[in-house]
Amino acid sequence: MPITLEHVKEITAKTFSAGTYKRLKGRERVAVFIRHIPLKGGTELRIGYNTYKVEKDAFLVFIDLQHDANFSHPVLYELHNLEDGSVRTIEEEFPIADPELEQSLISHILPGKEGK
Amino acid sequence: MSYANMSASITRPTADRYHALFFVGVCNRQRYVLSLIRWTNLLNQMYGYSLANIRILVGTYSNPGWASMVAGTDTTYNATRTDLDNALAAYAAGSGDPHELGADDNLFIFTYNHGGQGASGSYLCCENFSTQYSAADFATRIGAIHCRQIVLLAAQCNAGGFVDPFINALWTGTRGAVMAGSRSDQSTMEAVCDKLFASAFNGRMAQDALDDNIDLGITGEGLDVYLIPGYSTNRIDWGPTGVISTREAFNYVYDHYVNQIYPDPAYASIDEIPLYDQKPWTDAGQPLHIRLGEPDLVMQDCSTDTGVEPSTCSNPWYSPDVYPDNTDQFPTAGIHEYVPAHHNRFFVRTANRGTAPTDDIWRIMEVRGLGFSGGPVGPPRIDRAIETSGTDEVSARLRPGRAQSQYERILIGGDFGHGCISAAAFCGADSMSHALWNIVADNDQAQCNFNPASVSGTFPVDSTSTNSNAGKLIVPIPVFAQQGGTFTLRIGKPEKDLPVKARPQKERLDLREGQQGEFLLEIQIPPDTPDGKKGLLSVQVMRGKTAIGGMTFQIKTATAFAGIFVHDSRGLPDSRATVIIRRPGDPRLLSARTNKKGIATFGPLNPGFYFAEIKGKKEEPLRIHITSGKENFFRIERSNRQKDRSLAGR
Repeated sequence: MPITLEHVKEITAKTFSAGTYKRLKGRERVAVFIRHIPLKGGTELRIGYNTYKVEKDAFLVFIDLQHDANFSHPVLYELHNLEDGSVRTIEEEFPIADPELEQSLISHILPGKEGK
Repeated sequence: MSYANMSASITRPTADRYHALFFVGVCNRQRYVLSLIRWTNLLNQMYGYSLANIRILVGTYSNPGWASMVAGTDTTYNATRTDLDNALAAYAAGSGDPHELGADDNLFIFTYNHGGQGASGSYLCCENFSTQYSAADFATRIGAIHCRQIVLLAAQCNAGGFVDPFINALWTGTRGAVMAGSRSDQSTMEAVCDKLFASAFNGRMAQDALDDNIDLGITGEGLDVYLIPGYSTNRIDWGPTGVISTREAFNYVYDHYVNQIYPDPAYASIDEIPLYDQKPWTDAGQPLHIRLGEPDLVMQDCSTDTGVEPSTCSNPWYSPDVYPDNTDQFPTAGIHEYVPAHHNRFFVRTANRGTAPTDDIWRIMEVRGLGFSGGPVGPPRIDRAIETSGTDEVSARLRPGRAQSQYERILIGGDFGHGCISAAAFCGADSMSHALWNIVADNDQAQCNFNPASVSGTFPVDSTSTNSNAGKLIVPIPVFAQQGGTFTLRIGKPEKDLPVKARPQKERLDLREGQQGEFLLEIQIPPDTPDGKKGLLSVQVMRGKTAIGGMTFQIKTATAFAGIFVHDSRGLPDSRATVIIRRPGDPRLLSARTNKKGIATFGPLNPGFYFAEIKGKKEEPLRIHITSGKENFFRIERSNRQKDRSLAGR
């Protein structure tokens, strides 16, 4: 079933609430960013020193597990397939190298400043 | 307490000896730009680094709209790995590059933003993650730099991997310190190495390190940190040095982690452990303090004093940085005019010609009244006019290029002919190199002498009068010959509008080693000179062609009159007594007979201290202070002891 941006927002919000993104044993300061325009299939996505090929048209989600930390630090990228909603997860430690592409990520969920 | 730019005649010889290199390889966050600006301001404004000596290599901005680096810095935008390598190579010995560092130079390196760790160790990310600069390459370049000191602050992730390579690579003649934001297997939170370390070196801890727009309170002059909103501190400088060292800054940041960062939920993702190392740890058995700069406090010996030791001032005993200023309580008193037997207010000023702010300043002030037998040359005789005072400890940060002034009150005795006050400003990192009173040899010290010289231009009608000394003041200038030779006076030009002439009664003194002698200086004034004129006259004592001391007279024209009432033990006036008064050091004796009311009148007189006695009597002379603009009336009781003794002898 084809998905929309609203679907991606809903799914990531639920995943965030369920704590599924957390994998750093309590050290997370998780933030979620989404690119509102899907990436075209065949695009080469350069993250840090690695390059990944986007197979099919997909929404790009960036999950920063240590928001505000300098890179390298653990981060996740998700490619949500537009056609069937399947998700490919990439574990990385760097941001997207292309500044324009990185700045096209729109914040969806930001961590609060609890206790301050 | 107030602050101002230091005198333009003071030089800053170490300012060009401190260099900085900032590197941000991948500039994809605005906070990196803000950080570079923050550190530039810290080093330039608080530590006095020249902007031209701050070299900034910053990778391509992800957003061209971000702020530019501070104007005047040596900045390379769109910097690459090669730029970093070349910049480090340029500092190396024998590079022939204008940036080559010498044995007296110091380098501070700040690497920031993104780093990583691979099979070959930690590295800095460069050129938008297309290249890397390894810790090993970095160390190779460090080892080729032969300078006094290199300090590395590494705030990128996996920075701990730079610690050992850096320390091990240091050239044998170069000392170094490294502060890393994390272990080699950890990432760093932005706040850790940037704002906390910048705050620590600034002496003020930012309360919210997550605030990107925080400034460092640099504009707070030297205000105590407790007075600056938004900042708190414990004492960061724990040692006796008065200046924050790299180890002290690191210790404070580390404690801040333990006590503030780790327990705070807002910093939940932070678990990195900062690392520190330095080489060597000790110097001649003492802890070695490595700093981003060193202060050099200066009190000028004269207005043209550059701060070089020894100073070359012709009249070093008359400092512009320490002098009486009693205008708060005595508005008509000029500056440099002291009030005898009073808690005088002294202006004291210190400048910092070094390359680091002080944390605290201590001062010692000491007043010596040199009485009548000591003098400006040779060992002083300290008499009862002595007062020693230490000013309060100043909790302030005196920045390079700035001067701080304050006031201190000290009781000045009334009965001395020549007095001195000496002040010293120093901190642990700039201790006094000589004992107090070595004003020429030590630029931490300054001195102001007091030689009040009031002379009356109101001449008596009858030139044969014996009860007046107006028109001429005679002051002694004692000389102690530490080496034998011929001594003369070099008399300076009286200040403009001061209508006096000065000449010594005897042109020269021939003294053997250890012998004492005395010049009598006559200060003459023309008739009918009105009261109220003021000015300075400096006199140097010369041994051969060398000035070995001297004094500056604060001359003012003033006229006084005095009446001395002589009476017996029942209070009845003695109308047949002759009263004699004399000024210390002045060989002239003034005399007057008492009238029917028992009063001997004197005047016009040069104001000042006198001794008064009845001719033919053997009582101790009475010390009196005769001032202008006041009724000077004194009483002397005639003793009958002599008569009683003669009666007893019958």
